[in-house]
Amino acid sequence: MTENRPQPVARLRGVTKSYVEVDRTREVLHGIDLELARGEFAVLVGRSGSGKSSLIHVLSGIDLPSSGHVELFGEDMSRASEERRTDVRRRRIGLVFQFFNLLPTLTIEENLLLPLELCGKLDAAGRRRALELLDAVGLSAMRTKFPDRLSGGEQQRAAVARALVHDPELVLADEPTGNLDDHNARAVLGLFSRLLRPSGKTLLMVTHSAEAEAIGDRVFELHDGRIAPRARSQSK
Amino acid sequence: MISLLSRASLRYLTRHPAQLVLAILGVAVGVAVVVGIDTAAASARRSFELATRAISGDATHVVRGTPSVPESVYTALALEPHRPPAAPIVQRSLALVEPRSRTLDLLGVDPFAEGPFRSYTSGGAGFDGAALLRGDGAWLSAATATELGIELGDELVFLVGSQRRSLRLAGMVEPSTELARSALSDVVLVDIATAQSLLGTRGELSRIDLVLPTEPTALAESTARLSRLLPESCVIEPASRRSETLAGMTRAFDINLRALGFLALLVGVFLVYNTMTFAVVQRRPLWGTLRSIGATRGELFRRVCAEALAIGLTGTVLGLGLGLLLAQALVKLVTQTINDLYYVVSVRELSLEPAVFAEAAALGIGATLLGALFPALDAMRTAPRAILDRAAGEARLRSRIGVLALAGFLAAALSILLLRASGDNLPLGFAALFLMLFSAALLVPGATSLACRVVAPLAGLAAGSLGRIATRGITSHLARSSVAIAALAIALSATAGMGILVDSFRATVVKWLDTTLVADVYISSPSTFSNRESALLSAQLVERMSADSRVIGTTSFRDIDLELAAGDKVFATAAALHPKSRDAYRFLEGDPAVIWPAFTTRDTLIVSESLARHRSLSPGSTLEVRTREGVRPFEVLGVFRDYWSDQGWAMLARETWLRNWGDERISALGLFLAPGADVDATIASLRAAVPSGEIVKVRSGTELEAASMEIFDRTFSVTRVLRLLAGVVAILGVVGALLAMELEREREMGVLRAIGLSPAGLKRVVLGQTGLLGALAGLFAVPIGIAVALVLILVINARSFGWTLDIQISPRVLLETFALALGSALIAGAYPAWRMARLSPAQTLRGE
Ligand SMILES: Nc1ncnc2c1ncn2[C@@H]1O[C@H](COP(=O)(O)OP(=O)(O)OP(=O)(O)O)[C@@H](O)[C@H]1O
Ligand SMILES: [Mg+2]
Repeated sequence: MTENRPQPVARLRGVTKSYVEVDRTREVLHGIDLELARGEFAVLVGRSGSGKSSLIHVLSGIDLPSSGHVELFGEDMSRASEERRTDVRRRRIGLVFQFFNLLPTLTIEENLLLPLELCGKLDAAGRRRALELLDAVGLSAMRTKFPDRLSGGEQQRAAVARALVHDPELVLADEPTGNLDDHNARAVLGLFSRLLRPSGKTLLMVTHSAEAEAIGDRVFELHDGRIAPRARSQSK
Repeated sequence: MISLLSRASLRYLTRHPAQLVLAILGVAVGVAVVVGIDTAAASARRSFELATRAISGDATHVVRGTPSVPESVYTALALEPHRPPAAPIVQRSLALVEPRSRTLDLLGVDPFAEGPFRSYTSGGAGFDGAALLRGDGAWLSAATATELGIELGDELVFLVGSQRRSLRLAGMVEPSTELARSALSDVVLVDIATAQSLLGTRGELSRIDLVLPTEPTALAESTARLSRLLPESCVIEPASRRSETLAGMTRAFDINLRALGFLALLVGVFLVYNTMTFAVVQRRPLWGTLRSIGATRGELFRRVCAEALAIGLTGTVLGLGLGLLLAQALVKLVTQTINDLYYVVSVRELSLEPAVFAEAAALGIGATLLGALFPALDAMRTAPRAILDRAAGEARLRSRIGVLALAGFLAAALSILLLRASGDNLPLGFAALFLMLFSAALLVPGATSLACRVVAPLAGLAAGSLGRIATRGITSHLARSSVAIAALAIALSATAGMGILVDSFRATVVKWLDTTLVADVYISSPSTFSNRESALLSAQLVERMSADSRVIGTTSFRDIDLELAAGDKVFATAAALHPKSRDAYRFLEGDPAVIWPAFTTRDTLIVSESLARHRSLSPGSTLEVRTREGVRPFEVLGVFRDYWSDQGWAMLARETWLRNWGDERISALGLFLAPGADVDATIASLRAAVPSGEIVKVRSGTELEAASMEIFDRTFSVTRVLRLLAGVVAILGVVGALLAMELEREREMGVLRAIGLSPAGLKRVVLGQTGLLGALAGLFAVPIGIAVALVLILVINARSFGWTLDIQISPRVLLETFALALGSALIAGAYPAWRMARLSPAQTLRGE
């Protein structure tokens, strides 16, 4: 495919999301418009409950918007079949969730290999990359352990490594540094920069921390279900 | 105002409706089976008692004789100065052939002697005793007449031996109480002389009813005085003796039925245990939170027990209702079997016994609480920090696998010890069997984790990480998965065991019939086994049949009841055996070379294996038998293999019978045809030669074999139904267990979906896992099933019926078991697979 004009990696147009509760529906996202350009690092901030995770879910295709369009790599995801969305996700997207990330019945290393297996890239190179990533997040020693033997922070680092292992074009990370101390948080952010920047990959990261915010090219704020670009904070 | 804790429970239960419904159903089906079986058996017993009581009336004692009581005895009693109230009775079960086929009890009475005995035969309620004397009139209860659709003056045709005999309906009895009405529903009343001429037993009585004093010394005195008037062939015995003997015959049958009921309940307990374990483990974080905000251990324990109680109560109430429906169906099968094998009984209505209901309710609720005990203890022991430690319970089980396995081996050893030490005790045999099943359940966690260790690398090779996820999911949720596997394996092994038993039994009987039915043609009266005394062939018929030119030899049988000196009786057959028939007997004890020469010449007999077991007989022992000339010892010469009756029977030579009793008539005839004679053509001409007015069955050996197997299969229809029910409970259980287990892994499946597993792939993972679970259960069920079968065949069957069976383990039963395990597990996995594949991953990935 030739790119005669820069096509955004992801584009949201008029996306709304409502949740059906017992007696009413509540709209959490009201008409979100957002474009993520190739190679861009975007940061999403907002108060707790403002809808950040909901936005990530809709964007990644693990949930559907109530209305509006989600376009990934030029393809309208809100129209695509479940199979198609799954396929795009497994090959081109890396995900870090806010809470539960690892499969309890696989070891840390196996958790990392799983995305490779799913997209058919489980070869020697893939395995090497997995080991390198484990090393980079400081978990080499934990390779053969099961997730329930790891601390919350260790699990989160493993999840970040897993999101990067299959070399995805877009990484969506929901508070990837939420449980980490300064040192480890810096290591994870460094990893993003080191692995994604040179090859022009795109990152959208939800965070509450100023330090994490700093690696973004752009910062968006979710407020009352609406998104707005925010002036860069002074810290650098 | 219900407490917040209760409200939390209630919401939990209603949010997991599938689990809740399955648990309730499990208890309900278990309880229903117990109620159904007990009610059916109790109704048969009660109908029999009622009928017996209605017929024996207020008699305290009876005079019985071998083969009958001569009428002269009654005359002698009547002349006695201090004679007690006495009434002569002729009674026999007869097959009614018109207007409809049915069994009725013919009761011949002397209306003038009836006063102190039976209210319905002595005036009152529209019954005119004098009318009974006039002619060939029969009296029925009005309800029975209506059922048969006949009116006054209509004809009733009975089969007496091989002959058709008829009576006219002369009147109807209207018993005043409901009890008497139902008891009389199978009785046809006639004058005693009419009965004698109908049966062709002029001058003979079945018994004489007496009312003797209750005070012991007076009783002893009058018994002694009356005994002096009796000939050697007669005795006085308590009126209840006969019905006790009859009821005793079905004891083993009853116990077997109840054991099947317990089995269903046992599986039900597993189910509840299963559900409660899930309900507790799923909420471990909740227990932790509750503990950390101040709930006591006792409160948590009581909470879980209260939930179990709610499930148990609902299930029990439902089960009692279902049980009645089941009883309606089972009572037909149960009475059919009793009629085929033991005695004649027909059940009008179910007798609802409070004791049965109380027992079933106690079992249902007790079982539920028992099932909840360990989960409740588990909840109680949850440490407050368990909020953060979801794996605590699993880790505890894993550390206990060794202990459980050890306990399992101990229980198995104990059950073998109990089997060996319990002698001939049937209930202890069942206890050992249940202990064995329990030991198997204890071994399942260990075996499962072992098997998964073997399978995991293979699954990894075959299906990569997804294969590993499927296998490891089983070991990492061992507390839950092993309960599900155990429940399924136990239920299926029990049904497999029963299947093997029935197969072996059937194969043994077929083979035995093949070697036993050596004659070419068999002629017998069309009455059932339980009706054997009335099944005599007429002399004319016997003569005509044996006179056919193609017949070169005969074997004849005369069915009799041998009255023993001890007061009970033994089924026996007096036989004149053709040499070929002789050769067909297989002796388990005794030497044919010694047996046959002594058989015809001395007072000897040979006994079937069952009789030998029930009465501990072996060559050399004697039976004290009441003959025409008084009590005589009969020597047992040998023990032969036989499967006709679980009561067992004795065979004596026709010569011996004639010497001691002198009655020429026979009940069945076997004909040997000349070589080359056409069997079917011979049968056709023999049938044509049957004297008019007689009904007999003329059958080839093959036909007789088929008819015998039909009865055999009917006997096991109860077993089949119950096997099916136990299977249903097991499948309900495993569906519930797997459902809960898989639903609990929703979040994990959400992650898989989120990182790119397609819905179809997810279905494969879920089905792969439940399929593996089912396969393991099926795998375990096979050896356990064989062990169960061995115990059933070698111990339970031997103790209840006294039969030696050739063990036959057909691959079909084992394959069926495995397929059932796999199939039910896949069915169980289908819903979670479908549901999880549809669920939006985002939904499952929300926080705690
Ligand atoms: N499945 C759901 N059903 C109903 N309401 C939901 C559901 N998921 C989210 N919500 C609601 O939507 C709103 C946004 O939730 P979301 O998780 O997106 O917030 P968030 O910005 O990620 O918050 P946090 O920073 O605490 O993670 C919340 O008010 C939440 O209650
Ligand atoms: Mg969030």
